[in-house]
Amino acid sequence: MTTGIKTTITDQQIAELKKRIGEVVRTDYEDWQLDDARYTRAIIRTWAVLNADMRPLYMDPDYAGQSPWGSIIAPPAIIVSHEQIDPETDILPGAFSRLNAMQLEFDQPVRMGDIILAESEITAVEEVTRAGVGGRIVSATIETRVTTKENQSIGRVLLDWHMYERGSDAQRALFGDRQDAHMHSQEDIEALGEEYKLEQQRGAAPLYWGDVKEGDELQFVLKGPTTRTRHIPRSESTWYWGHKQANDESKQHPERFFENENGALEPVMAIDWVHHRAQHWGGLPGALESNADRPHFIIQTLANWMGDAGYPLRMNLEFPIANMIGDVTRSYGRVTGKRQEGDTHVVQLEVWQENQLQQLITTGTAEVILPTA
Amino acid sequence: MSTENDTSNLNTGFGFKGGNPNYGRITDESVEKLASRIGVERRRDFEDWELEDMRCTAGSIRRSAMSQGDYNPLYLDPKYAASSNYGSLISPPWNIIGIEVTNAARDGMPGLHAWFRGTTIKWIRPIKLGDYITSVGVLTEVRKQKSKTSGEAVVQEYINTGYNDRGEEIGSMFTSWHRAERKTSKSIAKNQKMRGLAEYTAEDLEKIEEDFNKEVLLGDKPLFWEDVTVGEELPFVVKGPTSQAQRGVGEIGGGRLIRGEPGEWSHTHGNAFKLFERHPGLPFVNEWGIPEIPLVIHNSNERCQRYLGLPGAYDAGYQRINWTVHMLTNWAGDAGYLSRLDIRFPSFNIMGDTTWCCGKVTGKRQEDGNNIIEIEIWNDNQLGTRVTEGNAEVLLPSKSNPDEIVWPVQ
Repeated sequence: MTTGIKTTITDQQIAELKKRIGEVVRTDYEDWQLDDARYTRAIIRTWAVLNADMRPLYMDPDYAGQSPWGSIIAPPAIIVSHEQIDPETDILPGAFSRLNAMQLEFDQPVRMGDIILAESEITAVEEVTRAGVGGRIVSATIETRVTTKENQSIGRVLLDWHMYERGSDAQRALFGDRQDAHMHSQEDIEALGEEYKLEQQRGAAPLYWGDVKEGDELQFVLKGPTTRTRHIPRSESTWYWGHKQANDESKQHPERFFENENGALEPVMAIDWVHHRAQHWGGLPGALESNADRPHFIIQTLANWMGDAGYPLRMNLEFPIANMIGDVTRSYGRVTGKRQEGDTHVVQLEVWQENQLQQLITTGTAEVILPTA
Repeated sequence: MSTENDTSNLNTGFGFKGGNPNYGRITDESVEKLASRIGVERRRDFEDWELEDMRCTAGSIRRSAMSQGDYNPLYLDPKYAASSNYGSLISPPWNIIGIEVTNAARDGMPGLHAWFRGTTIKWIRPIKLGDYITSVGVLTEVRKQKSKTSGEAVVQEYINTGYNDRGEEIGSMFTSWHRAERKTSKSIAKNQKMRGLAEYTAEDLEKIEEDFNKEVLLGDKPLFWEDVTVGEELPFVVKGPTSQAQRGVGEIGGGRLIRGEPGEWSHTHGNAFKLFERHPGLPFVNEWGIPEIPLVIHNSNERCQRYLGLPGAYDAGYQRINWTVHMLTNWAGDAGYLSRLDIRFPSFNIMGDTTWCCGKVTGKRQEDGNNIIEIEIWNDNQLGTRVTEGNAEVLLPSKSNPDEIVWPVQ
């Protein structure tokens, strides 16, 4: 097996990255681009389909018009997608990037018709030390503030990206003891199909703050097994590197490319998309899922429980274990407390996610706002 | 850890147990069932709100152009395009492909392999900024025939006609498809002497880079019909080497809205299970026991080798149309108008290949007030294999009427 893809992170790169702390990158639309920045019904639908969370609040204008929001809204975790600094291409190009943790704050939903702007800022850069594991890991924290075009705050996102040297023990350690992608039997698949049918959505019937008790458990939400089918729509819109333009880019930024099976240069991140390539080029057990999907799954769990009238207030998530493509994720929640802040009625929850191996892949907390009777 | 050669324990079967017994097979019944749809008009059931979202915007034009590596300012620069005869940005001509309502990869006889044999595209008027397009598709032919490469085969053909939102016809697309049983294809393919993946030396890549830099874009300098001579060669355009990163974007045209329909990439999680429950014959079971839509086999060389016995992932042909259009529009300039393309795909274009898109003027005529240039077109890969062939017609202005706009103006 080829294990030839190795990259290094140098002291100089880290020092240069630290100099960028405080750098702000903003969406800067020209007038002709505004039409494309608007959240239309079809764009919201696309997100709902990609997340397989096709609740009528995201899909049906007549239904959503009767909701407290008055129109279709976008899945709340969509604010994560507005980060303006791409860690794969703009932090330490060529390194292997993983989302290690995130903090989300929600002020209001993105509504159909909104034009959304965002600004991102690198707020911290530090080297992460893992005892006994070789290879550098650099943490870069990026804060993104998301607003409407009219400058109304939608929310704030704090993402902690970990950048790994490719081919290092640190990157391999992301897989723990796993040696290959999970093999599902036909019985597993049939059981998952039946499990999917158990999902319930509260929908328009409100869950009142007064009716929630500490210790209440939320019905879990199942996702997966993930496939390349899942991955393609996410990656398709970010790669324009082909033909002459790829050739030009490879001359300017050789660190972003690897020599593929044809001896041709290809963006190095394409190694990470499928098991065969991750095994062959990365010397890894396989390809990992993107952790960026996880907040969507958690919010689906919350939304199923609290119904259309509830809305997330904040969420803090950590991702201690990586999922491989092909894994299953179950998202859970449990009420840990409730409080009142003026007219706002907040419920606090513990949230977590497990894969089919019962590994705790996500830990965290969430707060949601509920109506009162 | 599984390796590339250790696949004996992997589930490589097609279809999901308990599904359609005729899945992936050519039977008289399945052919007749498909043929019963001949002549039936099919339309996409877009609702009004979806049509509004499908309007051609500066962003969608830009994504499409960049996804094919065609950085013509007619597609990218609003100021430049405003001063052209079009008066605004236009959609690259290849986007007429979007009028295809359905094709053999999605229509009838689930589980059969579908190869795109070729297409004839006629352009009547440009797709301009702000337009949205609707279309009607009709299955015109279903016939069985013997194939040298895949045994018994079925040919399926369609005609699609597109209209803009003013009800004007923008053009049509005739498509011809070859269907074969996948296992038959695989066994025959295995017994044939198949080429391997493209391999490039540093010198090869330097040559490709040199050829990239030879691209000639005529742009706003008009090319007149009188100045074209029969036999002259058009400047070539080179594309590739293709890769997973390139194809992920290039085959989908730079991103599009997702409706959640069969045939899209979007069926995942619970939606995938619902889809496969409705259509148990649809999925294949992947290396890890997970049902997936068969389309994804074609996005990696490894899967095409494993499941189809082919040297690598072959493209459907659509990108070769786009690249050929790039070559033709580079040559014709802003004042010219591509009116017809008849294109066939005699050989696979395997992921990793490089494609040289070429053309030569074979004739010229004046007909019904049009100044027409006839062009032979072809694409050759890095092995010198002809992967595409056909002909095209381009309308040009004449010196006798140099300011003529050669496409219908509303």
